[in-house]
Amino acid sequence: MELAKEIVDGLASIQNSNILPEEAFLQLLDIIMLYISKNNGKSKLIISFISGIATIHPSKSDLIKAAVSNVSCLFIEAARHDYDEESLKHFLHNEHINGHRIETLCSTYINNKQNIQTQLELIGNSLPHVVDIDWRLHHCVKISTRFTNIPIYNIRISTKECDQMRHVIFTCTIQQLQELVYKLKDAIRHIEKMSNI
Amino acid sequence: MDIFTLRMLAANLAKSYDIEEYVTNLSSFNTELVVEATVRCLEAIRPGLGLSTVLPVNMAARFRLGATLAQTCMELGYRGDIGYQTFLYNSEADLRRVFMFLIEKLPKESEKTVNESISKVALLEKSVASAIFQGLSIPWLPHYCHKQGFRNRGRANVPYVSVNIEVPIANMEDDYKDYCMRYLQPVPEQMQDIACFLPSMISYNAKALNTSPTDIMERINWLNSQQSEKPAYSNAYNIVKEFSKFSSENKTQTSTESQVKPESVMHPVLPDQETLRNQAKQEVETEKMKTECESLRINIEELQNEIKKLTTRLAQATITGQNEEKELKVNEEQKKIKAKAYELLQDGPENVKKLESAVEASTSKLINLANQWEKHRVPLIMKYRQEREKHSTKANASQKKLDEIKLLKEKEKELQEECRNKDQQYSQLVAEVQKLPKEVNRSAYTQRILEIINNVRKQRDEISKVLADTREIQKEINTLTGRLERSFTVVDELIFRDARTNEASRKAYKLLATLHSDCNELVSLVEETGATIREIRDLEEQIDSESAKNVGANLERITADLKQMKQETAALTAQLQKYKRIRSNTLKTKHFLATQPAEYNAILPVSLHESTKLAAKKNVPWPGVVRH
Repeated sequence: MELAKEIVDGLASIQNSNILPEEAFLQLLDIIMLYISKNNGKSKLIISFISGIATIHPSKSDLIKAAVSNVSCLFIEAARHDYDEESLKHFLHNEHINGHRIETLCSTYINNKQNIQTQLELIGNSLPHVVDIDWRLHHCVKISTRFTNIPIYNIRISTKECDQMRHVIFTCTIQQLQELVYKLKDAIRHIEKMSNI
Repeated sequence: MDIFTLRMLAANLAKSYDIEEYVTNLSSFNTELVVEATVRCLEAIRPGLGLSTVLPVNMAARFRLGATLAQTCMELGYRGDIGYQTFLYNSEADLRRVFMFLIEKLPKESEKTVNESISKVALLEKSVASAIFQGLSIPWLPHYCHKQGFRNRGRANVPYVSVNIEVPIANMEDDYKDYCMRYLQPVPEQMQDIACFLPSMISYNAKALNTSPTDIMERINWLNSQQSEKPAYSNAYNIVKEFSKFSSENKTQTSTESQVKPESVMHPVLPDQETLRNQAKQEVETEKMKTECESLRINIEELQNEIKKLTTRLAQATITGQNEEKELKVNEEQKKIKAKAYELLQDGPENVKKLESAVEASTSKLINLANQWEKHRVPLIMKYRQEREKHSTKANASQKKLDEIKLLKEKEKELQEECRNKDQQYSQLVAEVQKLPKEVNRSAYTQRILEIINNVRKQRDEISKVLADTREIQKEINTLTGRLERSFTVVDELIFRDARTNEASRKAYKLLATLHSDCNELVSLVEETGATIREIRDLEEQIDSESAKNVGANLERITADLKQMKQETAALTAQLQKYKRIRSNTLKTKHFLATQPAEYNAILPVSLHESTKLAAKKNVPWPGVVRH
């Protein structure tokens, strides 16, 4: 991974406990994790914390403001590249960031890595997912012009895209349905084969 | 067991290797199957042998294939008796031994996995497989339960919307710092929706990393182009512009006035005389002013031209002045020297002497100084050299140490890499171990082994019991024969003593003798039958073992193969003879041709001529003839 020079400098500047007291540092990490792992349902809680950033260390609020973005950048990039604790430490060491706070940073990161990655997974555009399927079997005995006497399958596939449910509805004969089922089974077999390398 | 491993092997090699269902053990392998299995095993052990898996039709080729197979087996380290007959005329026991050897020699699965773990593609495939496996192992959930975790992977519900954020930069001016401290919102508050936070951070980093440098370059280029254009404008162009502006403004003014004037004249309201006069005066004045302006402008231009000329002349004059000053200085110096010379000329010889003495004194002084300098110089140079040597040795030592440090650092890096690799491998192997089915019926195997051991022990006990029985019986027999012997001698003596006197006892003695000899015969017969029975058993065993080698069938096949070989050799000899005959014919024709005149030679078809020549020259065997 790669971080911009300003971010690296910012990270190096908060390593000194004379500039930023330990207590404020820990508080800062808590708040950053709250922001990153924000949940839409808990936004009110976050709003109550927003005033917190300015009050952590009022005499150096510009440092705090910069640190919020720098540390969260570090965490997000590390989670994007799937770093573990060891490799993150290695990375910071290579960027010439030294200090006892590296341990705290890394442990905070590794405790919240899953969470960050979950949040990152939620971002972006994706194709609609098939999540469910309903079916209904109609037997049409007769229509006005002739006898038909064939079963008709009504299939409704539920898809989900960006928390929005959509439905794909179609009807088919039994042969078409069988073909569909065989195709699906083929796909399942293929995936099972892939998983058994 | 063998069949099973071979099937596994076939599956592993992923080749079309069908074993018919009726083949259940090694004895029902036919020759084709044996050869194919051996070749496949050898290919797996030592890839790139290039042996064909199909048994050739030609007998000789068959033998050769068998011989090469035996040879490769020997090269691999097979110790038993092996030859082409092992593969072509198979006996079960030999084959079993060969196959057991080959299957032991097969490359192990574990080696394969170690090899695979090194390549990146295999690692990727493994991770893909593990991810899919994880996905497959998770139970189904209704979609409204997909809040987070693995099920939700790839189901983004937040669009990537990023906001430009402003982050305080360290080491800036006080004003900016003040702004940052008091007014700048913290980063999360700079966005309206908190969902933008992560995308904005990612964009911020990416922007800072990638776009800014190009931007700066562009800006610098732009600035450079601006600066290079500016001075050109400011010097000449601007002045001209100013002037032209001035004149053009004047012109426009005059033109507007001239346009306005007729209108005012045409005005219907009668103006006063004075105003008219005033107007006339003003007009005259303006005319005057204009002419004055024009003349002033011309004057200014002229003056400027003059100024330019004067400045150039000034520059020239200063240059000439400088040159003349230099000349003056040179002349003055020359003048001084000349004046001194004139002074000295007045009493020449004395002065010359003085000069010479002065010259000598100065030369001796110079020599002295040089000597002194030498004296000082030599030790200094020595010192300098020593110091330099010291320095160079020190530098060498430090260079060596630096190299050592570099080497150590590299080694450390390598070791770290290795350590990481080992860790990775270890974790992989642990994962594999966990993946492996835990309920391998090891206990069943051990139980069976224990049972077998128990059986063996029981059998051994029985055997020892039987042995003890036989020994006891032997002992009994020995004691009995001893007793018999003794009682017989006693009885013999007793009856023999009475036999001289008593007729009945003589008869009894005769009977006893016959009885004894008969009994001895009987015993010997019993022993003989026992021996023959044992022999029969041995022979039966031998027969069994021989029949296991299915010599009869093999013999039949050998005779059949021999017949085929004979046929082939007969065909070959026939071909050879044919070839010989043809050759002799060609030789004859050649001889004939050599004796004939040249015209006749020309008439002959060329192709025949050529072919005879070729055949005579190369002495090539006919295609299809295989030499053994």
